[in-house]
Amino acid sequence: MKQKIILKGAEAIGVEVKQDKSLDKFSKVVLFPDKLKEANKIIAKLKWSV
Amino acid sequence: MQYAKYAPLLASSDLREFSFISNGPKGEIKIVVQFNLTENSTIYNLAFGNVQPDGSIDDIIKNNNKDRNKVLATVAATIYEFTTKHPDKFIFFKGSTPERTRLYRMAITNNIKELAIDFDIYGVELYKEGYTVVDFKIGVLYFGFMVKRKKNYF
Repeated sequence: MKQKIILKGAEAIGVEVKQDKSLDKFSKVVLFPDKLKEANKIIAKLKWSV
Repeated sequence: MQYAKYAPLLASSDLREFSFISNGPKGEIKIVVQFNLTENSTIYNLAFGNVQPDGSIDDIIKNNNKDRNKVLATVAATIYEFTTKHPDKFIFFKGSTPERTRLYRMAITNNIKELAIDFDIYGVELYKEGYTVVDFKIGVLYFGFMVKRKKNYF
């Protein structure tokens, strides 16, 4: 039998989650551009040692 | 995380944006969380901040709502939710100041047993001209952090 991957969401740790379609308008907007810019600079120079 | 958390957590359809209300001495403050894909298609950046009265978002300001741990635990809950939809992605995050990065390290350290059940946890260290990803170890200072959902089979 194929094993099923079960990934618990926020509700499994006690946080009720509600869908809010008003948040969908942010999906094409970067709300934290400076943070993303900084992250990209770091990630461009990222090496793995694990 | 063992800390109290805010609810409900409001989520966008793609589980990349979340919001919740911080409630404390300064009143109700709306907090938004966003996961943005970086230039590396396997890594999302996690950021969050306060929604200001004019609708702008501030990720630098201290809200002084005396609920730091509760906010961090709720942001951690967004990682649980996000990774149900994007389980193969890494999530990178760091504080906007060294003090905040230290707070994140403390929060991870204080909840490491619980978090390690569901996530691989890494530290990002400065190394020469770049950065190195290493396994997270308690007591080590890191420049930032990365997590990835473990695949738990049942």
